[in-house]
Amino acid sequence: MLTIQGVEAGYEESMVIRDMNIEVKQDQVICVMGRNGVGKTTLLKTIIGILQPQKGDIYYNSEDITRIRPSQRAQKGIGYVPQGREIFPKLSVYENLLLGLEAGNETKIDKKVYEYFPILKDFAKRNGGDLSGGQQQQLAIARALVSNPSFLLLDEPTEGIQPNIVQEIQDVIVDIKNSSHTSMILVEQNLDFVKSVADYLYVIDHGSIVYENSIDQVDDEAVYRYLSV
Amino acid sequence: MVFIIKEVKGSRIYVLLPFLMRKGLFGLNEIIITLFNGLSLGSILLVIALGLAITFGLMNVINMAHGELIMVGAYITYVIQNIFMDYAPAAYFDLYFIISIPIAMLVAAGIGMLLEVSLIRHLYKRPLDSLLATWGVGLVLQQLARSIFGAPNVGVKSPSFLSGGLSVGSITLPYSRLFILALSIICLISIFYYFYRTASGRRVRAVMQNRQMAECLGVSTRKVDMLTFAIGSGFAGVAGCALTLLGAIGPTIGTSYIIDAFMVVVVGGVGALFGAVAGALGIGIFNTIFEFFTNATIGKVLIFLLIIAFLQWRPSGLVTSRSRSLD
Repeated sequence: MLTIQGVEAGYEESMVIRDMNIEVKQDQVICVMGRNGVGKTTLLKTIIGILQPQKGDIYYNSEDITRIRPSQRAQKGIGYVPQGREIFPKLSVYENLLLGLEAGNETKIDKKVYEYFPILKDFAKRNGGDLSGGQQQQLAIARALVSNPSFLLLDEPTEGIQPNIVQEIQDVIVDIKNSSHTSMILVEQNLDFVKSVADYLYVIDHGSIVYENSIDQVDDEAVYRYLSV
Repeated sequence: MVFIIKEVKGSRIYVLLPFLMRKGLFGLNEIIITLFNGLSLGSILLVIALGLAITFGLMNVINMAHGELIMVGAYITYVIQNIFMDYAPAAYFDLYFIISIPIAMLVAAGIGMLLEVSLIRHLYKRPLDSLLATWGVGLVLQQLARSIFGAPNVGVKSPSFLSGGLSVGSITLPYSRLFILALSIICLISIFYYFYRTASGRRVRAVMQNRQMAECLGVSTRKVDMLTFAIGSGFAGVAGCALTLLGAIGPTIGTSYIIDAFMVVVVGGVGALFGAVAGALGIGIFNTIFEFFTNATIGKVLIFLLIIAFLQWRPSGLVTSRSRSLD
């Protein structure tokens, strides 16, 4: 469904990721792990199109999307939940959700989104910027879900969030995997959660893939070796 | 600018004042007139500044050609007036003004759109360059107007339904001023409706708050930029149309108003549409009061001093937008 071939990307002169090859199949959940600063976020930014790769190609449904704009990628069904949520602070929660519809696959906000995150209905009229960090994260995920994306990019959705909301978000991710045909790339630090949701795992270090395996064959020792400081 | 503002309301005050004093009606009427003149000047400033509040306030583009877009609106009104004089039956002559408003808006919006696509788009990250480039465009437009219409000012005959005034007791409120007041309110309502009630306006607000994320959600930020700039420019055209009611128009009419417009937006608070309203009314009323006690020139000096002092106190303007920072 999504193929990343020999991608090299970064900021101005410094290349953050090098020779990246990732393959995601229909219905698959891919997890990406790695220490801070190894290029996980850069990878997702390159897939959604915020960063242009210097080398390599990205194929989505066997179509080359390497040179098209992020808005066009979103319209092709790629949803993005960035690190740091990126909520529109002075738009209401409801308006934030409506902007999720801009990708154009749906015309109405699916009730399911409110079932996942009831708080978004209660806070519909509040400004996005007035929500707490955890609530903003829920809003960011909901905003990506309303367009019913066929491919979802989640960048550390549980980072820096209180435990009960972490649980809620993890339940939602598991439910999306089980109840829809959405494929995902999930950047995550928690190996236990990764094992409960992922089909395949990549570990990145210094901008390259250093370990990859199907989830049922993952060697915890090997993964922890790359995650420990 | 000083001359036009003076012409705008100075004359009326100074004609009316001795008259009122002689009649012994110095109290209430005087206050009403000062207030009305302040409100009227405020509404003129608001009409001029609304377009700029969008292009400069929301988009942060310093468009020095904004004044020339106002000029375009004024000349469009002039041209349509001439067409009506030559071809329309005299009974329908007054209609020219009503028709001019949307046409001036569309033409100015079209020029703005062209400007955005061909020039400003490439300079979003280089504010100083865009300032210089748009200034150049402004000079070109001025010269173009000079070549087509000649250097001397031309007059636009106000429609008959806007001549005369509304008599309240012993004072007369000119219809042309009331019309501009109404026009500013209509413009304001339509801008607020557009930004806060339509999907397109929502996209604009989203792009202005977080361009990258809006793009990632499927909003074509290029289209939004183009449209927003066109709308801001369109309101400059409407302002030009309104200015024909206040006096003769010339190739430099825009330059005389552009400083006032920037002043209103800066005092109001960049990025806040509501701020432009407060800024325009504040400057309008204070300017009128100062002129009432001194004269047009000193009044202008005082208002500038007040603005300088005000900006020392609140550098980001009247309406500052705060919200919980994103963590």
